[in-house]
Amino acid sequence: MNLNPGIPAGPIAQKWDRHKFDLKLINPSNKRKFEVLVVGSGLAGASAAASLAELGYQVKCLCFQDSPRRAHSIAAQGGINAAKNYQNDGDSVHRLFYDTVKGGDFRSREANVYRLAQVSTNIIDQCAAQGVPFAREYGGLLANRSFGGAQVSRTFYARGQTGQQLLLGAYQALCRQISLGAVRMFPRTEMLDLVVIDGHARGIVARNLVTGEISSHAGDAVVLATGGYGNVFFLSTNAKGCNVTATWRACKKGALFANPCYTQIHPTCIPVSGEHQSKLTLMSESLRNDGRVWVPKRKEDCGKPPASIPEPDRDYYLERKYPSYGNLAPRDISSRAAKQVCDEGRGVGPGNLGVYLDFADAIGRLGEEIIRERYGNLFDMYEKITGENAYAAPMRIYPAMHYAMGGTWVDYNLMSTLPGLFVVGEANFSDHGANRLGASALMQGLADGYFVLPYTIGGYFASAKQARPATSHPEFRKAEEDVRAFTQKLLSIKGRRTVTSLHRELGRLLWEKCGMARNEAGLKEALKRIPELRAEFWKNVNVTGENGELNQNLEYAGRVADFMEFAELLCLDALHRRESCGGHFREEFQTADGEALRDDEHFSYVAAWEYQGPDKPPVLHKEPLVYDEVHLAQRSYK
Amino acid sequence: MVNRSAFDRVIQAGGFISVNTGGAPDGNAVPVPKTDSDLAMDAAACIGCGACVAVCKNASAMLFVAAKVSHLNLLPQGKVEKDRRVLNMVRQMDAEGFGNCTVTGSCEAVCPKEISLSFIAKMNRDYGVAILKGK
Repeated sequence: MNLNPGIPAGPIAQKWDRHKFDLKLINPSNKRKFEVLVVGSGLAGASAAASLAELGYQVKCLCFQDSPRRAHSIAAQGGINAAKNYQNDGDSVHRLFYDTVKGGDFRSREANVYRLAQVSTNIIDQCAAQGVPFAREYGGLLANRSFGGAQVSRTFYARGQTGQQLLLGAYQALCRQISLGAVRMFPRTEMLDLVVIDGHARGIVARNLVTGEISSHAGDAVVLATGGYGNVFFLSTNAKGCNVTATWRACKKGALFANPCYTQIHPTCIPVSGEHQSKLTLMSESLRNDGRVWVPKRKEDCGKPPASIPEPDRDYYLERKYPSYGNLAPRDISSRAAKQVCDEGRGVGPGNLGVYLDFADAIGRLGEEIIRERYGNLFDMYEKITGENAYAAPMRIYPAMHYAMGGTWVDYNLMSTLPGLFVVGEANFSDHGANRLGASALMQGLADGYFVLPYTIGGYFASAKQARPATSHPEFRKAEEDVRAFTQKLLSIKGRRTVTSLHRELGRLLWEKCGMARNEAGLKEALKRIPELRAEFWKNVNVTGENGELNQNLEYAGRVADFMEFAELLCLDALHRRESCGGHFREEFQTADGEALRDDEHFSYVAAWEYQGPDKPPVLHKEPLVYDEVHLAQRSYK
Repeated sequence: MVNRSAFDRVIQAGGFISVNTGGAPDGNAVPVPKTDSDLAMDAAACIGCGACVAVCKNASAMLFVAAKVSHLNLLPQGKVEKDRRVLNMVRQMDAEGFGNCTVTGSCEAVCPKEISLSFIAKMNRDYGVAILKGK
């Protein structure tokens, strides 16, 4: 297996420009001869579909939601980073690049990150032109705020709904192309298999979620923009529908999966309230701009009302441990710090699994009105869910699974190890290393879709020159048969357990053994339990209903079946990476004061896993990470 | 399960600003007064849930359409296509079979994002201006 990232030669600041020039072009009148299948319509998918259609390609876009505007990108709250330096506070492309590489604990590909920082400024221009209502100052210019892992204010935002507004911008651009006939949209259609012909990705097989009809779609290239796999943990901040199916089934067809153990646990979520909870809710990290995180110094105080605990008895542990970043320490560090104080028995709320996020100081300093303007919708949301007024008493927060840094391995062109298969947004692994900084996911999704893929996909078309197959090709027939057989198998088991109960059991196992902290014994136990649980699933699951109808239970069962396989890869990757870095924290590898201890000598590489078959262990391929610009150092936010 | 595809088709009729990827000027090249920007944001908060249509005795989609028309028409970036946007979106809204607005206000009362009825007034104004211009 040749894992060549294809990084262009030359100084880092010129790589992307040179590469854009070196990429072969497609004549405008020839572009319409190429058809692209875009799977997913979130920020990355919608922006890619719209931009490719604007260029003249024929585009088909599929999403399992009822409308492209329902993709989960909509839930992002806080903001989007860009190296605009509008605040004159020392920001630059190089600083955003450096912060992102450092934030990712030196496990990302330098050239990709630099390109991301470069195009970040174009994203803001593009979105402002589309009418995204970013926050503004009275002078009419764009406002910024700061975010975790950065000491400059480079985050653009639209109240607490930045994801929604950016998604609507991309969705509207997509709608425009739909109305022009350049994009054909297939909502409520779920990709269930990838079709590979002569080593190239040539199409997909999808199921219409309303009628159950299985259909084939042929294309000159397939773009997966299908998001992350956070729901493998059952409880996560992802929407219930988010799944790993598209990228996992592509992996089974030969697209290597990279760094699955890099999962991000977000520090500011509303704590779990009970056994039967099915979903967790994120509170934007931007709250940490003005909120102070603390727990009581003494265990005995944990049950007391927070207001009755005097200042000297409070432990503002983030400010204490990380004086220079304070409450804005990166997510992985904040999450682990919260876990530590809760493990010490100093957590607050039900089960002592929570810490306070206190706005009293900010309200005292700025007044309630300003806080309401900045975070009003978040406070409302918190009150709706918990019944508590956060203006009067501190919020309670606890970390939860949030984002997947790992994903399908892609080269500099965002193409996977299968030629013709491109993967964009959260679904790929490329830019965030072992930990993503706040407000960088929106940036990456849009960078890939608006400004990277539209260039690189043309280079593939110009050099590959393969005729688009007909959907009558035997490979399509075979993939359709496989999908039908898989569906029939799920429906025929008629066991005694619900899909949810099996998923919950898998999720709890992963959260305990492969969550915020991992160790060898726990991971080995998980690797023993997962195949047992998978066997239980295939023996004892009860999928109700039929295929030829709207059947959400069947959709869900298919996704959980994939999680059952994927979970094993996640734990295997976590076990093999004998170091701690970013979101991957191995208890055996930590510094004296409990920080992540990297092993650059042995693990400075991307771990890309090749699927070998149902009962064979996957094969590990390594892409060495070379750092020319950034000096490797232990991450310090003290 | 609700079929909201009519909303998608209304947006496709004109609920966008026609800019291709790439050619945008600097984000700060066009200052937008904060009051306009905030008002546009109020309108843009619409999540397209359709509660306004469901509660309306006329099954009118005016609040949804007005929210998108207002969001874009209030911003300088959206002013260029102001007239054709409102005409096209209203035409599509009618073609979808939504009822007319009798300013009852139930939509505003149930809207989870608290979209104001005044946006309907604004859309009517934009519509009237576009008609008078003979666009």
